[in-house]
Parts: sequence; structure tokens; C-alpha cells
Amino acid sequence: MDRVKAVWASVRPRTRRGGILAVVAIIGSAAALSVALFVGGAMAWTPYVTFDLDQGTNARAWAAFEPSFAGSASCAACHAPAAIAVKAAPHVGVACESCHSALAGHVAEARQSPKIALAPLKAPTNEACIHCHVDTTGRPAGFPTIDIYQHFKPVCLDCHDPHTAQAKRPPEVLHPRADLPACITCHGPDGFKARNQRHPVEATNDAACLECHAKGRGPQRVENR
Amino acid sequence: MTEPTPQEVADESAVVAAPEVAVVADESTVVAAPEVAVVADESAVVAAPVVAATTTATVPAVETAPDPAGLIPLSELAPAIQAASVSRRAFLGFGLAITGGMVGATSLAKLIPLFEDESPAAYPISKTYDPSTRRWTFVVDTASCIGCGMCVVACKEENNVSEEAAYTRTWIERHVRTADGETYVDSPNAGMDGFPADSTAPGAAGKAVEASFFEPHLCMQCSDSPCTGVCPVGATYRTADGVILVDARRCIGCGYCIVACPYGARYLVPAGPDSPAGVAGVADKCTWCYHRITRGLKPACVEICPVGARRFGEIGDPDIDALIADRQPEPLHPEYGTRPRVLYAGPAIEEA
Amino acid sequence: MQATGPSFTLGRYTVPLAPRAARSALVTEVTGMSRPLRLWLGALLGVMGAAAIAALIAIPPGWEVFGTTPSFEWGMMIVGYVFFALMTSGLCLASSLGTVFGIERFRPLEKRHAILAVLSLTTAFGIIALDLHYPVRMVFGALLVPSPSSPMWWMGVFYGAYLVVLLVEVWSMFTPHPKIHQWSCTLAAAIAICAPTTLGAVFGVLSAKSFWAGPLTPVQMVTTAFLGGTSLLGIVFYAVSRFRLQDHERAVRLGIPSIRLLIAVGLLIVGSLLALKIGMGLTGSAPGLRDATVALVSGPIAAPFWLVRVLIGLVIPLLIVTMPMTRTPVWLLVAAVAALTGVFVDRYLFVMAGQIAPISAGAGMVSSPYASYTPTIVEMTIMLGAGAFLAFVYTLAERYLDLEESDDHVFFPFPWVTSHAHDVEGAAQAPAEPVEVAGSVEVRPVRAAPVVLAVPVSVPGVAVVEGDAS
Repeated sequence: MDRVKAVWASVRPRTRRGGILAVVAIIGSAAALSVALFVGGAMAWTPYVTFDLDQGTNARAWAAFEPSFAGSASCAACHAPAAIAVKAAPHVGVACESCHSALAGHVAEARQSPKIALAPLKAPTNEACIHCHVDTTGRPAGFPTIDIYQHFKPVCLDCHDPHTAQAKRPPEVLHPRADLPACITCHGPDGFKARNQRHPVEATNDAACLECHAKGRGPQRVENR
Repeated sequence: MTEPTPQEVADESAVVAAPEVAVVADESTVVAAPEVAVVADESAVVAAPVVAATTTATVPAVETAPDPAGLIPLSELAPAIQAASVSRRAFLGFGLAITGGMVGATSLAKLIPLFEDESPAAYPISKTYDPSTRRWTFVVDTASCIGCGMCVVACKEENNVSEEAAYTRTWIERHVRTADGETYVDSPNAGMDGFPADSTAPGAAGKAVEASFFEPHLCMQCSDSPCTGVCPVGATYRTADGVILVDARRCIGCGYCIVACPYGARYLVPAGPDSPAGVAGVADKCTWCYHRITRGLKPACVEICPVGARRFGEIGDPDIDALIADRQPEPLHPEYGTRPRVLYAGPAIEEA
Repeated sequence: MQATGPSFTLGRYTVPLAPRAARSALVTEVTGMSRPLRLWLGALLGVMGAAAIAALIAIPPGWEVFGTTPSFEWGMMIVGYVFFALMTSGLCLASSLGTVFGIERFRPLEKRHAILAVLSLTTAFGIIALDLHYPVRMVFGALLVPSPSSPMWWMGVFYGAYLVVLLVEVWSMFTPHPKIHQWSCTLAAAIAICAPTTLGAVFGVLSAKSFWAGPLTPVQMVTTAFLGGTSLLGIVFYAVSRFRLQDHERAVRLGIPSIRLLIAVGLLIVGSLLALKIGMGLTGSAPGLRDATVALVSGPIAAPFWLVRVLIGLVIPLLIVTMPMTRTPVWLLVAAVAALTGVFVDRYLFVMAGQIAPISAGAGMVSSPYASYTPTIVEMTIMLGAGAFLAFVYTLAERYLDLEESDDHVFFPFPWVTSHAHDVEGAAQAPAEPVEVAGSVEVRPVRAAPVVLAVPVSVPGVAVVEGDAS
């Protein structure tokens, strides 16, 4: 007891101001300490008090997340024609959301108010097509790929309809264009716009074509060559 | 000192088990795990005849070790060793204690399978989903994968996984075998942007490609999963349907499961806006989209795969059964003995 | 020191508690220190300050500052943890030769080892707390969800118990509780074997990392722990003899030769195990094992392996401790520092080599044959600070604690056989008292100076030792 008194005598505040400061400091640090302990303890304990140590609780928590991808079945519920068309196309088996991106929000919106017209989906860009169909080491043999340096480069969907097997009619390509590929890209044996069968097969360079088809010479004039 | 054979242990313990130093034997019992004591006891009886031989063999080995090193001989510097006759046995006891401890730890490591694989508790996940009745299986067809990377992107979007390539639940590797017989593996950006025309692996540039294929990776949901066994706080566990999950509120972020996984399927969630369970710094891995399969949907990567390279279903589904019968898929790296539940068909198995 | 106001006694010192008196006492104390000591403590404080800043940065959720990646998840912090945790066990193993197994020449290691062991283990815990992302959860998780299948859980059990036992040991050492001291020493020695073996098992059970897997890993852990602990004791005992600290006469006479012997034994065992490991690695068939070993001996981490691990860490210290002309405290210091560096680099290379060959490719890392990891500044600073912390607190302990080994407790082999000599009540009751007395009588003259100093003159090393110390 004497020892305690001696300690107190040596540390007790000597002035009124010192006393007030000491009280404030003690209360302040006690408050800070309890807040720290409370917060820290709560953070450490929460998993264990809110969690009954049954792993099923956590499994149910994982199961409770909401999907972002709705699945093609949800699409077919409204978009029957397109879905049916895909079944017949080379893209059979490709999920709608592979190209049209995650649509769970769209589906939820549609279920909520079926009669309101929703914002039209963004059409896939060239990049979406090229992503799969560009020639790359590792792709299985037989998978349709293109060499992007050789392939004609308008918008893919101008010529190809991803939903049906049938290719669209090629659009009117205005030949006065600066970036046309080699003539045989389209007009060769594998091109979609056949040339006259009387043309010599070995004529594979543009100069040979332009012998006749340059401006002012023959039919199907190519303006810019 | 390699792993001591029972014979060696027996020899040493037989030596120290002489009556006047029975305490040393006690010491080893205290130090070592119980099962070691059993080993020592049993073999001590068996090995009794060789005691004399091993005594002479063991003691000089310990004592003369420093001699060739030019040290002061023990006998000269510390007569105490001769004076207190206990000391020599004490030295032996020291060796025995160390040996015992090592045998104990080794046996502990061997015992681990006994503890492991407690039957997963059955708990209903939802009204329509009883995990104990499901036998999910995942088949990856590497013959049809085109490496488009849509699965990686879809996984990140579906599960709120970080956009960074290093932190990913699923990724695609491209295996390229060149004409000179070397195999190169690359996975630029985890495959999420697709793959450039030629392999990006160092040294692969310019070489003629003989064979190549894409190999999607994800958590194998092993039946003998090392990750669940090594977790010190039981934060990762296997559900009744075989999916291994991580409780983000229990995980301490030690990284042990990550170094324990032979398939590299785990990562620690980085700080940032995206985290699957809403917590950074904890282990995360593919859950086979547990929220989707418990609702009757397919995992996002399976849903999105344009070429059907990822197939998911139950054993008993006609298409899955047909696929398994037709393609004979096998797990990757069966040599790790973890019994993966993701099966691979195509070149990933044929080329291995 | 004037005895006005409240105070408490610490060893030979009376520490005043009143603020003003305490401040002036501190100033007196610091100004009273020799200049090198002040510089030494100041430098250590500086490093610790830098490390404190680094630690604040690294406190969760700041772990992003570490250089680890999912394919290289264990980095410098694990290296530091393994190094310091195993150092604890090594110190206990070395000192247990004297305290538990009663080998007289190893007796002077007792008090110093215990303090170093506590400090080392505290350092290890500090490092792992910074490395774990949720260290507090670990305490509750390990208690509430015991995981007997996890070696890491067992490691936590053993090292947690270890800290308690070591604290009891230190307490019982300075407040004479000989009986408790005996028990705690024995227990500490027992855990000193269990703990590093479980730590080895943490790595040894991982079949995914074939370089770590296998029963050789725990063995290597224990032996390198022993080497590391004795090397640290070598450094400390050099300081004791150089600065003529307490008990230096005995330390030089018994401690330094003992440590030299232990280091030699440790180096031989560690060296042969390393050779075995490399041999097994190069011929092994486990997936990735050969790749990892090749990376170690001729790959990206070959330079530190051959230069530091083998040359500096094994060959040079072995030469030093075996050559008669280098049998002086200074050379012991060189050998100990070299061996300790080798042990630290061994830990580093062990952790690196285990992960360097990605057996199954981690995402994004598959393109290179070797995974890479570079410690960040923060990690390095924390490592330096950990060492500085150990050195700083130990320097203070050396200065302010009574580290004189008592001559009374000459020999207590096992608590259950005999009681402690200066445990008066215990000795009076203990039936084994005669044995104890006999032991004391027999052993004490041996430790008395004349006998041991009468080392044959034909052994020049000891003569040099004596000359250097006086």
C-alpha cells in the first residue's frame, strides 16, 4: 500500500491544469483503447459468432450469388425465331451470350415488364468474329479461320449472317475504293463473286485483270485501278 | 542423417534402454510422438542381440567426428565427459531424441491420410438442390478448344474476379510442339484476350510447329484434395457434391493451399474493386460456379464456350455418359494422386 | 542512482519510475554509454525505424507491397519466418546439450541462449503476422477449428507452446525457480525437436512441390536449425569475449571451444545432407524435382547457391573451424557469420527452389521455364529490421541483465532424476539428493579454471584463445 502511495505521489499531477490534462488523457486513451479492442475483437470474432462453424452456411452463401449469364434457354423464351435459326447455322451450339455478352440483367428486366420494348442489343463487332475466326497456332484443324491480311475487310456481318447457314448476298462493293484486296480474293475460285468462267484460271494478279477491267476498257469497270 | 530405418532406431533405443539410463528412454518417449515410442519398443525387443555391435559402432562415430577436423579432442578439453559417465549416454540420448523427433514427424506426415477426407457433411443448399445426390463431372475437350478466351472473360465477369491476368480462376494454355521436339507452353494474359498467331513462349519464335493445342485449366475439384488437407484453420472444404469451396471469413491468407495445389488453381484475392466473396487477401478458386449449378444452370465458362470444349453434367446424363464412353477422358497429371474430377480428352491426354 | 521516489530493480540496476527521475536516469544512462555502443544502438534503432515504416505499409490490407504472385506465393517473409523460427530451435538444441543432457562443456550457453531464443521466436511471430493477411483470425481459427491434418496447424501448436515454455524458462532463470527451470528447459529441448520437424513437415508433405516434399526436409530443417543456432551463439560469444562482458572468462574457456565443436559437427552434417539432397534431386523422377534442382545448381539461382550457400556457408567456415591456426575468437566470429549467412541463404534458396519450376503452370507464368520472384524493398527492410530488433533487444539484455551463469547448478540431467542444487527446499526433500551432491562434487573441479586450463600446450589454439581473451 505504501508503495502504491509512493508511486502515486511521484506521478500525481502537480497543478490543476496538469490534473485536467491527465484526466483527459486517461479517459481519451481508455476510450481509444476500448474502441480499438471492440473493433478489433469484433473483426476477429465476427466470422465465428455469426458463423455457426457449419460449412453448409458458407456453401449456401456461395450458392446465393446471382448469375450474370442467363443462359440460352432464357433467350429462346422470347427470341424464338433467332434461336431456331441458330440451330440450323454453323453457329449451332454457340450460346447467345457468347456474342451478345452477359444478359442476366436484360432477362430480369424482360421478366419484370414483358410488354415494354427493351433497348436493342449491341450488335457484335468485327473483333468478336475475328476473336474466334482468325488463323492462330493451336486452333484445331477444320475450324473455319481467315487470314486477316488476305480477307476482304468490310464489316463481317455485311456478308456473313451468324444466325443462319445461308450467307447474305454480298453487298454492292463500290470498286472506287482505296483499300481493295487482290481481285481474286473475291473473284477467285473460292471467292463469293464468281467471275466469268472463260477467264484464264492462271490469271491471278491484278495487272492481268486490269488489262480488261480498268477504267474505260471493258465491262465491270474498276475505277481506281 | 537420412530417414532412420526402424532397425536403426531400434539399435539406438536398445543401447540407451540399459537400466541405469532408463531416463533417456523416457526422454525419447516425451520428445517423440506416441507412435514413435511404439516403434522403438517393438523393435528394441527384436534387435536386442545386435546391441553390442551397434554400441561400438555408434559411439565412436559421434565422438570422433570432430577429430579429423583437427579440433581439441573431447577427452582432453573436457574431462567432464569421462568424469561424469552419464555424459556419453547423454550424447547418445541427444542423438536419439533428435532421431525420435524426426521419425515422429515423418510418421505424422504418413498418418495424415488417416485424418483426411472426413466424409463431407450433407446439408441442403436450397429447396431444389440436395448436394448429397449430385455427381457432377467436368470434361474438357482439348481437341475442339480454339483458345478464344471467352471462358476466362466470362468467369471473371460472372464471379467478380479481378481483371488482372495473374489472378484468375480459369485460364488457357497453348501447348506447341515444334519440329525439334521441344514443347512450349504459353498463356499470354491468361488467354483472356485470345492468343497471338504464334507462341509467345521464349525460344519458340520462328520454329516450325509440329503440333499444337489449347488446354483450358480450372480447379480440378480433386477427390483427394491437398488444399483441404493442409488448411490450418479448416477454411477450405469439400461439399457433399464434391465442389471445394473457400470460406472467405475463415481464411487467414497464409497461402499454404496455394503452394499445395499441384494444378496452380488457387490465388490470393488482390486488393481492389473485384473480389468473388467480397473479401480481399483470402484464397479463391474456381467453384464450378456453385451459384449456377445449384440453380440448374451450367458454369459460366461452359455456357459461353462457343465450341463445346467445356462440358459439364452429372454422371448419368446421357450426353455426358456418351462423351465419356466415346472420348475416354482422363485427368491431367494423375501422378500427383489427387484424383481430379475434371477430365480431359483430346491432345492434352494423347500428347502427354 | 539515487533512491528517491518509486523504483523497481532490474538486475543490478534501479530504475526510477517517477517521470522526471526516469528521464534524467535515461539521459545519464545514454551519456554514460561508450561511443561505439551508442552508435551501435543508434544504428539498430535507425534500421528498426525504417522497418517499422515498412511494417506499417505491409499491415493488411497492404500486402500488395510484397513481391509474391499466385505462382510464387511464398517469398521473403516465409524465408524470414523459417529462419528465425528455426534459429530458436537451434539455440535450444545447442544449449540443451548442457542444460538437459548434462554435458558440462556446453553449460555456459544457458542464459544467453534462452534470451536469444525468446527474441528469435518473437521476431519470427512478428514476421509471420505481417505475412498472414488475417493473423488474428488464425488464433481463433486454430483454436475453434482444429485441423490435425494440417502440418501448419501442428506447427502453430508447437511454436505457440514453445513461446510459453521459453518465457517460463527465462522467467524461472532470472527469478530463481530452479525446479520450474529444469522442467521448462527439458520441455523446451523437447519442443526444439518437435517444432522444426513440424515446420519441415509443412514443406515436406507438399507433393505439389517436389523439391520440398519428402522426409529429408524435416531432417534438413533440424540440422540447419542446429547450425544456425550455434552460429548465432558463436557471434554472441565472440562479442562476450571481445567486449569482456559478464562471465567472459568462462565463455572463452568453455563456450567458444564448445561452439567451435558444434559448428564443425553442424557443418559436416548439413553439408552431407545438402549433397544428398542435390544428388537425390538430380536423379529424382518426381515431376519438377529435377528442374528445381537444376535451377539451383546451374539455373537462375546457381550463383547464390555456389558462392554463398556452399563456399561462404559451408566450405569457408569448415576450413576456419578445423584449422588450428584459426582457433581464435575473431576467426570464430568469421566462421559463425559465414555459416549463419549460409543458413539464411539456404532458407532463401529452399523457398525459391521449391517454387521456381512451375510443375503445372500457374496462370500467366507458363511462358518462362522458371517462375520469378524478386523481394521488394518493403520485404527486405522488414527482414533487416527483424535482425536489428533481435540485436537491439539482446544488446540491452546483455547490458542490463545478470547473465552470469551460476556455479551452483552444476549438473541436472533430468528433472525427474534429481533436483536442482541451489533449490534449497527441493534439495532437502528430494530423495535423489546424494546423487546430485555426488555429481556436483565430481564435476565442479573440472569446471574450475586450473583443470581446464591445463589443456596440453601441444594444442596451440587454446593458448591463442586464452591470450586473446586476457
